[in-house]
Amino acid sequence: MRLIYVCLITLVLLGCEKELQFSNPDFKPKLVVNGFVSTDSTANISLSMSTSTLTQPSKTLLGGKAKVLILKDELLLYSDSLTLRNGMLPVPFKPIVGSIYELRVSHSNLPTIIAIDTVPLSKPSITIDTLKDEGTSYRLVLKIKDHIETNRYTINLNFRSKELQGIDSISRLYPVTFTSSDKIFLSNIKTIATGRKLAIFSDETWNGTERSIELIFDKSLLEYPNVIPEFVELNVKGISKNMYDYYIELNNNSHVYGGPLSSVSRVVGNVSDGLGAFCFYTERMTQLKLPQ
Amino acid sequence: MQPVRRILIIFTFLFSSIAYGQHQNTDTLIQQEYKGPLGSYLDLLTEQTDVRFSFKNKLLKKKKISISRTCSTLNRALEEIKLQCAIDHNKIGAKSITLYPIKGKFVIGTVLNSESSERIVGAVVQIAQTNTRAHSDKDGNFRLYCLTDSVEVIVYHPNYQLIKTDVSVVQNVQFLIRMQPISLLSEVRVLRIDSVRISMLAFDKVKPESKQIIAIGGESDAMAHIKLIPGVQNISFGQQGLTIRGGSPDQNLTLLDGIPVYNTYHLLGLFSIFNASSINSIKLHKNAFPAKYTNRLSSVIDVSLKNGNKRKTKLEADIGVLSSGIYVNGPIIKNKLSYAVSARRTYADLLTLPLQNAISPNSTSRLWSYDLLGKLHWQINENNDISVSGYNGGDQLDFRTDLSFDKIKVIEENTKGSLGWRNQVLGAKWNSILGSRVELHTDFSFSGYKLRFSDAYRLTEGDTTIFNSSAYNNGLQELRGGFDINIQWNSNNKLTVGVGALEYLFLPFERSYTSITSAISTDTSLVSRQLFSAERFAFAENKTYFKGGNVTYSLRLSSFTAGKKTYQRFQPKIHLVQNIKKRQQLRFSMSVSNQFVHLVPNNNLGLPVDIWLPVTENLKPMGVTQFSTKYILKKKDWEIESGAYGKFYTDILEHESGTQLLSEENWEENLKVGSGRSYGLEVAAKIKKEKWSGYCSYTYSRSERNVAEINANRVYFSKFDRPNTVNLFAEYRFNEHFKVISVWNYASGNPITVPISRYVTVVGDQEVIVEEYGDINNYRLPSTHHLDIAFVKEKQHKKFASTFTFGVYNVYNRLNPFMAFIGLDDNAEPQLKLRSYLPVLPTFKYSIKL
Repeated sequence: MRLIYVCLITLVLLGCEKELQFSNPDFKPKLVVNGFVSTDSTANISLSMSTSTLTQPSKTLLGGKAKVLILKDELLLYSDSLTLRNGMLPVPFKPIVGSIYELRVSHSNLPTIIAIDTVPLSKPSITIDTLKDEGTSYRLVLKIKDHIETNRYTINLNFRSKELQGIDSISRLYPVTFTSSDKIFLSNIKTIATGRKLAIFSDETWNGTERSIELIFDKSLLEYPNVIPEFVELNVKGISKNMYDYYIELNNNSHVYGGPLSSVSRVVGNVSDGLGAFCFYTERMTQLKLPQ
Repeated sequence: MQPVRRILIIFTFLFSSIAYGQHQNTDTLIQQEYKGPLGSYLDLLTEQTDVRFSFKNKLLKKKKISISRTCSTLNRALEEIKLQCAIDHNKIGAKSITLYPIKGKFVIGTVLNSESSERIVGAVVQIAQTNTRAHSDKDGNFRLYCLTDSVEVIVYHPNYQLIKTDVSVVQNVQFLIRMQPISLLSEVRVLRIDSVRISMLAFDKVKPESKQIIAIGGESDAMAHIKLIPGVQNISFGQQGLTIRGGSPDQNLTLLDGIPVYNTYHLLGLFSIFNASSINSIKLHKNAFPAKYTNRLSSVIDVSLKNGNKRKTKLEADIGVLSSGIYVNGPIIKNKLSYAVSARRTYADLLTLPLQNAISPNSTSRLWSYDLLGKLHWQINENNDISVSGYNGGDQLDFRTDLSFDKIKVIEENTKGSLGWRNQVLGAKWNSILGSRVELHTDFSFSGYKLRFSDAYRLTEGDTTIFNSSAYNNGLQELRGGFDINIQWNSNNKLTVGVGALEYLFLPFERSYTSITSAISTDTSLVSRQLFSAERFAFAENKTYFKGGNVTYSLRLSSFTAGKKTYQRFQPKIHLVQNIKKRQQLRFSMSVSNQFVHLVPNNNLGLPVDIWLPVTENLKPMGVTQFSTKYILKKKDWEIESGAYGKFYTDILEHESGTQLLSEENWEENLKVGSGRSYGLEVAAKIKKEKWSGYCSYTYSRSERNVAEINANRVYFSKFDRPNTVNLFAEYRFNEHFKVISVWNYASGNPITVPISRYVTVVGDQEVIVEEYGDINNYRLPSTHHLDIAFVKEKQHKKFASTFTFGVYNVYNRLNPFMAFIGLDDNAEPQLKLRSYLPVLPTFKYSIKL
């Protein structure tokens, strides 16, 4: 009886797939901006083009010249025609905290895009409390001191290693997948990108106070052949509202259409007449030697 | 003595002459056929018999009479006037007759099942040799107006033995009629009364026992029958809820014994919460529905539970692929107080648990659902009864992971989570007959709906424990109370007036999290938002009967308070039924309805977690004006009905894509207000022969929306737009023990939103493919259709009756669309793909009845 039942359940859950015709007459290509600019470095903006739904998109295929104009606090900062190299726009400016930047880009016959963002006021203030060896995993406790204005954060975790390449010893950075039992993430369920290599959260419930956060990562993640993990590198970014909203939209971008589990989750970004985002962030990075 | 004798002879002669003269007048032969106004007929009688009539002028107003050949004398003519026009006479002398209106009497009563004392709904009660008839209402009550002092009453119901009884009506009379049920297995020939007549009921009625449609997994789903009615459609394959005439599922008010139920489906819409064995009847109002219930735009689905048997305990039990259930009912106090309890639970989790333990003992998941229904019915006396109904049910998905390491210290890690919803419903109703003309209905109810999503993590390492948990709740509670009075204020008019009050508590954004770790001693936070709303309503509804038809007109005033703002809405309705000829009927209705609560889609969890929210100070109540018409033609064995409808929505709410409702305080800004319309045609035909019966329905339905900021303010098809729906039902009975039932459903695919482009963006150091959406509802899924067949074997054992049903769902294995996504084809190129579940499936159910 149980066997029959399991067979029936399997049959019920057995999904079948077939291909559908989709002509997509509404498609019009647009410029895509990936401009996530740190206050600690010069702007590094990538420019690409959207493709039709049933075509594989790429970030690096767009070439040719793009006309770029940048305004800072409504005053002209930069205007030039730049050649794209691997989809990158070499724009020579370094953002200043609290300023408002406007980016305008036109390329061939594609609609001209306009994007505006404000650079966050303050850098994240973090201290590492403890990094404990838990046997099979490491437990890292950090403290973030939140400033009085509304802030939004991301956390990245990497480990830096020393490894041999031929006779040379080089240093490399590996992203670390981490988990957290802390509800600062789970209460919002806004952990994006695969493997939790980046967590996103806001100061919604602890504005202006200090907050401890626990991160747990498995020791086995640091095991690579010929690699000696030396440091763990914690990167906490204070991101602009546009960047936060963009990440949240990305987190909800569904790949299922129709049916009970589907949802149309539009990724709007802050690029008018185009796609992607042009945003600023401040960052604080801390290195900690791994316990041997 | 001589003079005295002479005088006596003279008096005798005189009296004889008068008597002879009178006899002569009333028995005078008259013209035998007449059809027309009564006034003209009286003039004719005066011409032919020389008798003068005296009466008040208004007595003859609009009165008509039809005299046949058999009516050949004045006496007979006066009897006809009495019968047809409710006018009696008084003879004054030989040449003068006074006419006056007859004061009729009411025959009121209750139709009961003789075995269980259960009230019978929809029995036809007719005064023999007349057109006077009534249907027993949901409480089994009927009321007839009668002009004569004694009548023969005929009571008919297809599932019961016909009853004929003489009733003396010297004054208003009240009595109980007990009908003997016809066993399906016994050979009883039922005399049918004039079955060609067309019912004048303003709703579609379904008796779940009358058809045995088997839903997925063999479930005997009462709501499966509703889906056969034209104008009723599934939202889409695999989704819960019904769309009725292009409306969204939240526009349907589902009532369980008059108490609203907010979630009526299990397991993503596989089957409804209404187990057919405990349901008495389901009424679907989709035209001008009763003023008492008007706070939804599309329909009222009125489900009534069976009362328990008041004479002996009865038991029904069934076992099927997905679930098993039991229904027990019986007397607590014989003929006075009864109970009815039913329970059902799915057991996929119990049967698969050993398999999960074998494959992955540290990680298990369970999905199950349950229903508990109960009803107490107390027949206090002939005039009063009280019932208490309750329901508790829901779905639950639980998952857990337990890991244990024994190294230097014992480390245990436990993770668990759950997602579940519950409906809790409790209500009491008191029906009281205050007199031959007045009934009072009083009811109070509570309805609660709650959804909970939670997760918890515990790590124990020696003496140290770290514990974290979070929960998200949303739901609503509704408290309702009211009463209404039915007044039969004359033979042709029935007035219902009522008032009521509703209090709502919405809990859409309740979140909590707890964190107890080595670094953080205690960290508990609760973000909660509650919304209170209140509705007050008063209504008056009058039903006027006239020759060959009736008209119901009503007005409801609703006052809904949301925050500091109070909305007042007048909702008029009219429903007209007119027999064109004996076998043809025309119906027309117009209604204005408003809705104060709505279901808002929420995408944050990636789960079908829609949230009930009220209108607010900024969001006005939705409204609809509906026009509908229907033509019915009924012959002896078959019936055809066809109709059309148009619905015009105002202030309809649509959710703007890509916004988050769960964590945002300004959720109102994410809802866009617009207008819409639905229109369509509905055709149904049914045929009943001795061994087989068939039913088919076709619906052409369009549903359009026009909302500012969505699709550049252009009119677009809503996601409930499914133009063509066809349902075919056939039943063939081979013999008294064995029958086969088949159902075929077809529905056009509904619009979905497919991205128009893709691009790459960067998150940290990772590239992520993002999809860009253009217009919403820009792609239509393929149509859905499936054929289901069930073989039913019924057997009467010595002590019980059994039914074994074996069925096949989706016989020809149609791949019906469940969802679409972008996958890769054989050449690794992106391709729009369709995923389908529920292929051809065998089902069975075995049930017994004691």
